[in-house]
Amino acid sequence: MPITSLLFQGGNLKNSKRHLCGFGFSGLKLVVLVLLISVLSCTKIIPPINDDEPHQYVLNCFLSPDHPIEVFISRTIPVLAKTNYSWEDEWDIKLYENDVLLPFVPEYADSSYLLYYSVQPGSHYRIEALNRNNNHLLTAEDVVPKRVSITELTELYPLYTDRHDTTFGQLTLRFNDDGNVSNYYEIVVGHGYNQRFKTSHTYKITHPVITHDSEYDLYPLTLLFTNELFRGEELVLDIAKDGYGGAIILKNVSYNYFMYKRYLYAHLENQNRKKDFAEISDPVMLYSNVNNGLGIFASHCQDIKWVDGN
Amino acid sequence: MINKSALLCFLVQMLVSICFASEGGRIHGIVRDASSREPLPGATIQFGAGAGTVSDHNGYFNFRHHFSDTILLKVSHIGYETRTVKSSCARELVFEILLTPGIQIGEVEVSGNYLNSREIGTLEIPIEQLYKIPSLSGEPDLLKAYQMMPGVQMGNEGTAGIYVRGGTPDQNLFLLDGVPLYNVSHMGGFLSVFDVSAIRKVNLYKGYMPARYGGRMSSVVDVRLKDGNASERKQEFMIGILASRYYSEGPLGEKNTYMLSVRRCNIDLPLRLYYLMSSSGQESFGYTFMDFNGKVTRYIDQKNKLTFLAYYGRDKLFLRERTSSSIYGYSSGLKSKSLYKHNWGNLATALNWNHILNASLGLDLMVGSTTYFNTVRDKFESKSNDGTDKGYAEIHSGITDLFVKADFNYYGNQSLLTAGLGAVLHSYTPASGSYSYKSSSHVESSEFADQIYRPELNAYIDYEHYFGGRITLLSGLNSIYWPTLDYLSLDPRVGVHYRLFSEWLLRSSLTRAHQYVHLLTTSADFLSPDVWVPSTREIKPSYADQLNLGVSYMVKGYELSLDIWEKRMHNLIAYKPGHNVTNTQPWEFAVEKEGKGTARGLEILAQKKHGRNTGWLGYSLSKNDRQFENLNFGRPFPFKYDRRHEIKAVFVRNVSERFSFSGSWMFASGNPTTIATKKVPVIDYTHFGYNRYEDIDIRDGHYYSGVNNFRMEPYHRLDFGFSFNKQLPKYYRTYYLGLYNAYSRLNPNSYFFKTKNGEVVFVRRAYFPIIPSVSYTLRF
Repeated sequence: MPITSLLFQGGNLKNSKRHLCGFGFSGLKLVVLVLLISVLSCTKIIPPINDDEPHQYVLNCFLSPDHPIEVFISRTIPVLAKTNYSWEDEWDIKLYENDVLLPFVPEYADSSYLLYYSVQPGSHYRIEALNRNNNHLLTAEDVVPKRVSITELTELYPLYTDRHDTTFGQLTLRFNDDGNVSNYYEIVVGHGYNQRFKTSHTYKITHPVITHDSEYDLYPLTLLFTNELFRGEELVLDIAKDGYGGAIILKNVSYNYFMYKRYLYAHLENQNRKKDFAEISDPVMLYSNVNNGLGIFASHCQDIKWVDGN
Repeated sequence: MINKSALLCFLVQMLVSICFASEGGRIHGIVRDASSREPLPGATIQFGAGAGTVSDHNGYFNFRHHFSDTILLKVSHIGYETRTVKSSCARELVFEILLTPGIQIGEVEVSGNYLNSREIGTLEIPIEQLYKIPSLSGEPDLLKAYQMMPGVQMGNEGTAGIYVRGGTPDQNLFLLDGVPLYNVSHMGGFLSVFDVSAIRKVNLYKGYMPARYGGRMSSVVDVRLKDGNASERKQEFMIGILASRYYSEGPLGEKNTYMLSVRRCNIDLPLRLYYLMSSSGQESFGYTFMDFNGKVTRYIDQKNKLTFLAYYGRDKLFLRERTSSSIYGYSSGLKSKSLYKHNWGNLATALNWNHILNASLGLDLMVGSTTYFNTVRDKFESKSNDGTDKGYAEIHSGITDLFVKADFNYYGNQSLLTAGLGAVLHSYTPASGSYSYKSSSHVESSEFADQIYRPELNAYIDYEHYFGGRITLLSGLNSIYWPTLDYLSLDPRVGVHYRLFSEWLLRSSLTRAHQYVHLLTTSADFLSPDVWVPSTREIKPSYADQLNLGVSYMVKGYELSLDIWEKRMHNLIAYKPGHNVTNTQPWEFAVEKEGKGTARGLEILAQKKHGRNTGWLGYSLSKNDRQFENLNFGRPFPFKYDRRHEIKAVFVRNVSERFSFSGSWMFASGNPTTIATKKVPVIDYTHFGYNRYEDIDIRDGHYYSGVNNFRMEPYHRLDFGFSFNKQLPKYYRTYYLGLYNAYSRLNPNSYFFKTKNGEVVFVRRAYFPIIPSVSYTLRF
């Protein structure tokens, strides 16, 4: 007999108690069963949303005077699909330098379109990729920033030993900013001997330039920042790094590169923290400057200095 | 032929009448509960045809009359028997009107279909009804009851925060006897801090906010506590599954009364016991909260009243561990112990002097403080053969306000003028703390402190004028000034009420409200500590403009209302994408600023407050967007709690003196949330030099078509509550049985992707299936 009907019998609780005691052990099992069902049935696997939405094309390309032009074109895949991107090979790609069509065409080889051409710092580049089958056109543009040089990189070692008995030294980096425009920078801190660079993950920078801009707490592989706090001046950065020796890569990056990387690290960190995409922070969207598609077309110039001056 | 004498007498009589009418007289006094002698705010005093007023929060009323012979007042209040008072006319009459509590078996008589203009635009839930509205825990909750009203939304299921007309919880000003409270939730929002047993009256202003309320953009929840029974001592004890409560009130000598309530959560008791038994005393874990409300009132004389108020509420989460490690059954000599404590809550105190200067002028003077604190302490000690390691860390955030304010009320001829001045010293601590570590070979420590002081001056003027019993003009100006930043805000408030007929009331209002303090939370983290931050030079005060048009109709005790509104918000702030609670970046660098919000809606409410059957049915249609330059790449996006449709129904039936039951049903369109719709290959270069096969990193990214691009399934839920009462020789007892989510609808709380058996699946999570609750209350 349901408990509610007992209660409605004249509202006399004494009588109800007698009936409930008669329920006895069976009633207790029912309560436990209800509780168990309640606890266990709170998550449910459901079909993904918007799974039948058409795919989008993705164009990825980083320009730099220091390496060839490489263009990756692929498609989005359903969110639950196993990672198996198909690299598109039926595209015609044109590149424009300062609105002049380059006579060279990237050739497809092994998942990407490759062009051995050195872009020029300060020049404007536009890419047009046309799909031969459906005439879908992807376009994007960017300006290659001017190269910035590291004035000096020195080391002070040892600096201190932490409670894990790790000895830290200090690298001091100096470079000058061109104050006329907004500049965006990226630095990579590394170990390395004999010109073999390996990224370091154990370093500390407390300069406001970094803490103001950089998503420092995401422990990214690189640090991004702007010249907002030192426009037109020399920047001196002290970097506490584990171990002896090392190198710094300093990149002057375009606005598109800066936005892409900034959102990318937050996006990847957001996913990595949340093994089950659990609710620790809000999802982060990826930045894209590709028209009619997704991806990134961005540029950078870099300089590298080893602690021994090479 | 006109009789000149008769004409002369008539003219003289008219003249005398006019003179007398224009002079009139003044009637003022206090409405009280006949048994406890508690002042009764919100009592309706009707006089003449379609004219009347309402008692204020001190139970005080004051109006000018034009009676020539006999004065007839009809005084009514929900839960009390209506009383008619007759008196001979005089220039000044002072009344103390005692209303007898009425157990509502029959209909409470309300003569005439009369609407009180001053109360229009507020949402009031009678306290007696609050006790009966079913709730999640069985514990009556003020904010959960308001969540059942149109225009007031809940956030995530189970939380007590309220989102009023598109605003966020920090945009609501919560006042406890005039003292602001910053944190109004326990258990991450599961329950509010307001102990219903201590409350006398509550009003929620969501349309027209009188100018005396400033500093928040969306609403004001004005909670008035009881003063205490002046006739006899009363006590109440309640024990339930979630919490236990003790309440006491009574006289303290001839001229004083007291009110005291203490409430405590019971969850930690079984948790502690379980952990102690399962870990042989090595572990202890628990969560608990408590609330204390205390008030002492001294009635110095007919014109002076002094009140001291104290409120303390705290949540506590703790974990204690002791471990001893062993290798192959032998002690390794390593022992450790740790203690983690997280406390957060409010402390508010105030001293208030209420003084009637003369028949027309009253004064309220208050001095007090309110503090919100949030402290985490973590310490450990580890002993081994190599020595002892000790560590300690403490992080603290909070706000403290010290304030003094004075309010004046002047009752004119068909008007009420209220003005006030105040000064506040705000002290914000977004984060401060210390850390120390000591081992046999190493010592380190550090401290950090981030404290911001913001003095504030504020003033307001509020004016209400009644024209011929049909038109009421409400106007006011609220001003806040922060001298350290030279921020000055002037917030006009204008409203017009027009009584078309005695049953129909048209209303409109236009208001502006500034807000100088902001609450930062990540929407995904329900246990994240609240961080209140002040406006700075870079982060300007937020403000909102709201336009409201409405009409109300009252017939046979039912009140029907329709409101159309629009609110535009400016200078909003939000965390940057990807921010979470583990970030240590200074908060000023972690927020997006200069955001905008636009919300608009339509609300319909049918409510019955009197009689054996009470309740309401409400519907709202609304749209709520946000826009930030660096969120969603500058495009507008739906607010997280943008629910298009809501239907809410509450029904309370007092079957007899011994039994009553209640039911509530709620339907709401699904909340928007951000869900990935595609997978995207993302590339990154991180290494020196160029090598196609080593330096290019290709990883899985996820494509979101926009912020809050996906609508959850609709939310709906049915609750029941049953009260069984009995008057026994020495006490009055009540059993309460509640059923939350009676048909166990698994309303979605979140959607996410999860790896299961190597496959990625899409999961919907719900938290609250059917939940029964019981409580037992004794009153004596």
